Amino acid sequence: MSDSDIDLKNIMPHRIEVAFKDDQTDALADGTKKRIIDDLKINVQLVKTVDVYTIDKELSAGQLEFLGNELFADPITQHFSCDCPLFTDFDWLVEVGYKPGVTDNVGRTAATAIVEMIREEFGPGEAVYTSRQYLLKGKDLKEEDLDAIAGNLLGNDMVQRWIIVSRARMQDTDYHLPVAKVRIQHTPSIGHITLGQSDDALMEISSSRKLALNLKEMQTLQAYFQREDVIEDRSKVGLDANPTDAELEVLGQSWSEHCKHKIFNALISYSDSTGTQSIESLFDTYIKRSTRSLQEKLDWVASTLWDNSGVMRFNDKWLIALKCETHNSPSNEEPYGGALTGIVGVYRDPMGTGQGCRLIFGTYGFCTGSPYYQGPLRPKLHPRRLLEGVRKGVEHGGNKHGVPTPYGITYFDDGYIGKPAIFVLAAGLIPAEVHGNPGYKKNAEAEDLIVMCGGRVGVDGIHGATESSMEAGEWITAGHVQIGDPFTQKKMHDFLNEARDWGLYRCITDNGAGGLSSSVGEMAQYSNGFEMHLDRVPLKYSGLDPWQILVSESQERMTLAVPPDALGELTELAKKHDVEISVLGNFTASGKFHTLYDGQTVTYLDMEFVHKGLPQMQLSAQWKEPEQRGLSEPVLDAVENHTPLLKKMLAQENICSKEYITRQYDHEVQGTSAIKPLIGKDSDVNSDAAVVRPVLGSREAIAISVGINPGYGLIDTYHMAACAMDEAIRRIIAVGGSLKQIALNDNFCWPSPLPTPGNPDAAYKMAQLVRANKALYDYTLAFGTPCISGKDSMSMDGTVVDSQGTWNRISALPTLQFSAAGKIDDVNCCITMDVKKPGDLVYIVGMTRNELGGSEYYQMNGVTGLNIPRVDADASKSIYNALAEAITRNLVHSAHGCYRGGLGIALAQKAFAGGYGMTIDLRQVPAEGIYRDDTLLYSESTGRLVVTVPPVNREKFEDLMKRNIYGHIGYVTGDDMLTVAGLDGSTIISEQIDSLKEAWQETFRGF
Amino acid sequence: MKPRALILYGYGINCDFETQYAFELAGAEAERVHINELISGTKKLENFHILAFPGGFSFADDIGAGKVLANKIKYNLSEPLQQFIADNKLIIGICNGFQAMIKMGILPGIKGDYHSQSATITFNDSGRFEDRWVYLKIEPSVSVFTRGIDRLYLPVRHGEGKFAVRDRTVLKNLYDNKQIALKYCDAKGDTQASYPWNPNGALDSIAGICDQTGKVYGMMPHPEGFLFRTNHPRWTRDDIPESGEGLKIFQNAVSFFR
Repeated sequence: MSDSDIDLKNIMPHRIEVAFKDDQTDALADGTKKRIIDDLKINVQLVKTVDVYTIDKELSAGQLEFLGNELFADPITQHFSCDCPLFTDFDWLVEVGYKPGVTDNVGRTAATAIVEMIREEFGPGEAVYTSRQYLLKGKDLKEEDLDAIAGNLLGNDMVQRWIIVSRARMQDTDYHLPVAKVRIQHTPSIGHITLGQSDDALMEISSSRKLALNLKEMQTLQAYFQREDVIEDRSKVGLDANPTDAELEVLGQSWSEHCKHKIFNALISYSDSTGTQSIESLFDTYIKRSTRSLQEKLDWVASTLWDNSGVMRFNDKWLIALKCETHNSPSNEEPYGGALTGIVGVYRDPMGTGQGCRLIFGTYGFCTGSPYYQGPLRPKLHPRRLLEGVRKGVEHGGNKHGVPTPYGITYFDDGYIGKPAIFVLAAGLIPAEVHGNPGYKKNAEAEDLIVMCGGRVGVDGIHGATESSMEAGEWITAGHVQIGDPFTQKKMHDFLNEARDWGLYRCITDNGAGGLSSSVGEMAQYSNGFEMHLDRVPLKYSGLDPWQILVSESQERMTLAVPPDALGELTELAKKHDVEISVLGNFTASGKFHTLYDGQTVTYLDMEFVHKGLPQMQLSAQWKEPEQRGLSEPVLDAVENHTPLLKKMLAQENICSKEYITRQYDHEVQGTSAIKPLIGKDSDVNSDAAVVRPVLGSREAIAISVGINPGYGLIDTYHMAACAMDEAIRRIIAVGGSLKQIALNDNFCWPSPLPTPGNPDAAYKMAQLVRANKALYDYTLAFGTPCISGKDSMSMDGTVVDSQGTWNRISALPTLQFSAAGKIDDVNCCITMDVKKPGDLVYIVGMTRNELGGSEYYQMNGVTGLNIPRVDADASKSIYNALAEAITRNLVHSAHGCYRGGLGIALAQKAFAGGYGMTIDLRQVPAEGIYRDDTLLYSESTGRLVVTVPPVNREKFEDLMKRNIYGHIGYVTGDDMLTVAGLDGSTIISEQIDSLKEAWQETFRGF
Repeated sequence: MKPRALILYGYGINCDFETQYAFELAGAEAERVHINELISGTKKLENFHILAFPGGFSFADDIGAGKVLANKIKYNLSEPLQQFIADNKLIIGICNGFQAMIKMGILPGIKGDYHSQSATITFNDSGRFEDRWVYLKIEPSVSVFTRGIDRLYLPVRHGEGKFAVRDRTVLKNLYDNKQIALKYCDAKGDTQASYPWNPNGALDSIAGICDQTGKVYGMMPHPEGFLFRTNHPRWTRDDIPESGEGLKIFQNAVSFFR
C-alpha cells in the first residue's frame, strides 16, 4: 500500500490531549511565562501547557480512553481528553509540532508502547505524532505578540511549525496542526548526469547539486569518467561515460572539506617578516609529524590519526578511545537538535574505533555570542536562546545515553553570532585485547557481510558533509538539521558491546557525515571493494531515490563487517536488544565502490579514485605582525579601589559561575565520578579538571580538562595555541595528573581562509592557521603531549542582518580548543582547588610577567593590547613535574591554576571555594617587569598555579620546588576575609569571601 | 548462602553496571538480565532473591519517566512479578526504577494492592533536571533496606523526582503503616527545609517509600552513586570513610537472606 492509498481512506487521526490538573505545578508553563515577560517583554497573565498526541491509526473510543488512562496521563497529576479540546478557557492558543520528516522521538516511543498494550501493530503510514499547545491569557495580547512568542521562544521553523488561534476563532477554524506525515509521491530512480564540456557547465552541476566542489575538482572528476578503461569497465554494468547522480553525490561528500580536510592538506605558501615558506600539508607537517614522533617514544600511545578516534592505553586490560568533534552549522540553525545530534554523534566515534568501546564520559564546549547581547545584529536566534538550546541538547544526549558529562566550558564573544563553535567530546573503554587481537585494530575481509544497525534512513541529514563546509546564511536548507535519538543509540550501544565480546563482527564504524557511502566506503578500503544493495536499507518512509539512501546522514546507525557464519547469533542478539539490523551486501576485493538498486547498478567507481583522486588545493598565507595591524600596549588609569574591581572581574561572563549549566548534566552516572565539576565547601565552584575512575574498583583514573583562549588570537594565534595547550595541561596537573601521560585532542574552528570575493583577508586567516599549527607542533613536542585525535571546522562565518536591514558577514575568532585526558595512577592522590585549612601556607609557582595582551582585564577596559602571554615550556615542565611529585606525595592541600583573570581571580576562587579567608602579600609574587598592582593581579601569564601547603610540609615542598620559580605569598586564615597587600605594602583588597562569591555567582543567576 | 540479585537492564536503563557492582560488594551474586530475556523466558525471575530496577532513562523518559517501562512490565511480566512479591523476596527501585515501580502500582502496595497507582513521581518544581547531593533522614519504617541507618548523604540526578499522592488518605496510610523510609533534610537534619535541600518539591520531603512488608522499596537518590570514598563531593577536604554510605542499602538487602 502506498501513501496515496492511505490518504484516500481519509482517516481522521485521533488526538489525546494531556495537561496537569489545576492543583499541580506546571513547571514548563511557569518557565515559559517568565521567558515571555522577561525576555520578550510581553505581558501575559497565564500560561498553560498541553501535550498533544496525534494518533494516526484507527482506534475505538474505548481504546483511546484506555490509552489516555493507562499510558498518556498520569492518574495522580494529570487529566486528558480524547478527540476534543481539553481547555477552552484562554485567549490564545499556540500549537507547536515537528515538520514532516523530523525525528519525533516521543511519538516513536508512544507507538511502541501502544503496540505493547493493545497488541495491534502500526501499519504502513500509521504513526503517533507529538505536539504541544501553549494556552495563553492576557488582556492586551495581540496577534503580533503571538507571532513573536511562537517564533522567538516556542518554536524554531527549521524543524518545527505552529499554528496560532484566538479563542474567538476556535469555533470556525481548524485549530489542529496538520499531521506531520511524510508524503513523497515519487518512484525511486537512478539519474544519469551529462557533465558537459564547459567550465561553467561543470560548476553549474556542482552548485545545483550542492556538491561544494571547485572547478579543479570537477575537472578531475570529469576526466575520470572519460578515461577509456573506466568507460569499458562501466559498460559491463550498464553504465556509460556519464556519472550517475549517486556517483556525483559520493564524490561530493567523499571529497568535501568535512571529510577530506582539504585546507589542512593544501599546499601553502606562507610568508611573514622573515620570508616565504612552502608548506606541504599542515596536517602532515605539524600535527602528524609531532604525533608520530611522540608515538615512537611513548608506549601508552596506541592508535592515532586514522581511526574514528585516538586510542591510548589505560592499563593492561583497557584502552581509552577519545574524540572531540564540533557541530557548529546545525547548532546555529537548530541549537537543541544540533547539539543533541552532535553529542550523540561524537559518541559513535569511540564506539566505532578499533573493536568498539563502552562510553565512559563526554564533555561540552559552547562558544556563542553573549547571552546578554544587545548590539545591532539581529541573528535569527538570540545567543541566549542558542545557548539554552545547545545546553539542553547535550543534557538530553548525555543523560539519556547514560554517559556522564563531568566537564565543559563556555566562551562568549560576539564574533560567534555568525556561527557558534559547539564542541562535544566522547571517551570510551575498549578491551586491550579482543579475541586475541589488539582492541584498537580492525579489519574487514572480502566476503564479510555489510550489516547496518540502529536507526532507519530518511531524507534527513542529506548533504550534512557538504553543507557544514559552507558558510551560514539564509540559503542553507534544513536537510542537515536533525533531532538526535539517544534512546535508539543507547540500545545499540549495549547490543554492540555484547556483540564485540561474543566476537560477532570483525570491523565497526559509525555512519556519520556521508552516511553509508562514507562508512562502507571507508571500511571497504581493508578488503578493497564492496557490493551493496540499497533496496535492502530499511527506510523511515518510501519514495527515496537510491542516491539519497546512499548519502543520507540519518543518525544512530553503525556499520559492521560480519563473518557470514556469525550472522545467526548476531541476529538473535539484536532481537534481544530490540535493535534493527539489516544485511546490505558484502565486502569484496574487486577494487570497486559498487552499489545497486533492484539489481541495477547505481555506482561503479574505483575505490582508489574515490579515496585518493582528490587534487590538492593551493592556498596562500600572509602573516602580519600585531604592530603592523595597529595593536599597541595601552596605559590604563590607576585603579582607585581594588575591591570593586575584583568583584567586577569576577562577574565577567567569561569568568563567572555557570553552575546552572553544570548541574543539569548528570556528571556521575556509572558511579565513576572522583573529582566532580563542582567542588569546595558548598560544592559549587568549578574544579580545574574532572576526574573519573572508569573501572569500578580500580584506583586508576582519568583527568579531563579543556584549554581555550580565542581572545588571544586577536594578537597572535601562535601564542594563543600555546596558551590553550598549556592551560589544558596545567588543569590536569592541578588535580594530580602528570606529564607522564597526557593525551590531547585538537579542535580547530576557523573562519574560512579560502579566497572568495566576500573574504578579503583570507590569506591572513590562513596565516593565523599556519601559526597555530606551528605552535601545536612546537609545544606538543616540548611537553610530550601528543594530539591523538583532532578535527577541524573551517567555515566559522555567517551572514547576519542588523537593525538597519543590512546583511553583514560575521567571522568568528579563530578558535582552537585543546581537550586533555591525563592518566592518574592512584585516584586517592587527587586534590582540588579549594583551600582546606587555616594556617596553610599559600604559594604561587611560576613567573608573573607583564602579559595583559588579550586578557579579560584589557577586554573589560575595551582594549586588546600587545603583550600576549607566552609559554616557557622548559620552565613550565619543570614546575609541573615538581608539583606532580609534591601532590603524589600528599604534600599539597590544594592547587588552582591562574587562567582567565589571572592571579586575582584564582585567589578569590580558592578562598570562597574553601570557605576560609587568606592574607596575601603581592610583594612576594615572583614577577618580571611589573610595577602596578592591577598588572600583577590580572596578568594572564601561563605556567602558574596557586597552591596551599600545610606548615608541616613546608620544607619538603620547598625542597621539591627549589629549582623552580615560586613564592610564599601568604596564609589561609581562620576568618572569612580575603586581604591583599599591594606592591607598596598597603592593604589594597579586604573583602568578605561571601561577597566575592556573590559577585561571581550573580551574572547568570536568573538562567 | 549468597543471595542472587537480578539487575534489570535494556531500553535505556543505565545504572545497571554500578548497581550490579554494589550488590557484589555487599555480598550478593548479581547478574544483569535484559528485560527481553525475562519476557522471552530465557531467564526466570523465580531463580533470584532480589530484583533491582536500576536508575536511568528507560524509554528516554518519553511520555512520563518510568511510565513506558512500567507498562512493558505490567503487560508482559505481571504474573512472575506478583509471584516474586508473594514469595517474600526483595525488590528495590532506584530513581527511574522507583518511578517505574510506582507507575506499575507495586508501590506503595497499601493493603497488599500491588496493581493500582495511588502515588506518583512528577516533574521537579524547578522544571529542570539536576545533579546534586542531598542529606537524607531515615524515618522509622518497616523497610528492610534502611534498617539500622540513621542518615545518608547521596546524589540525586533527576528531572522528575517530586513524590505526590492521590489523596490525603494515601499519605495517612503511608505514615500509619510506617511506609515512608526516607526524607530529604538539611545538613542539620531538618526535614522541613525547602529547595535545594528538598531538591524537587516532594510532598513532605519524601525521598523513598516501601510497601507494608518493607520488602518492596524505592528511592529517588542513588545509593549506588556513593560506594567509594572518592564518590563523595568533598572527599578531598573532609574525613570520609573508605566505604561509601550507599553501600549500606545493598548490605541490608543481602543480610536479609542470611
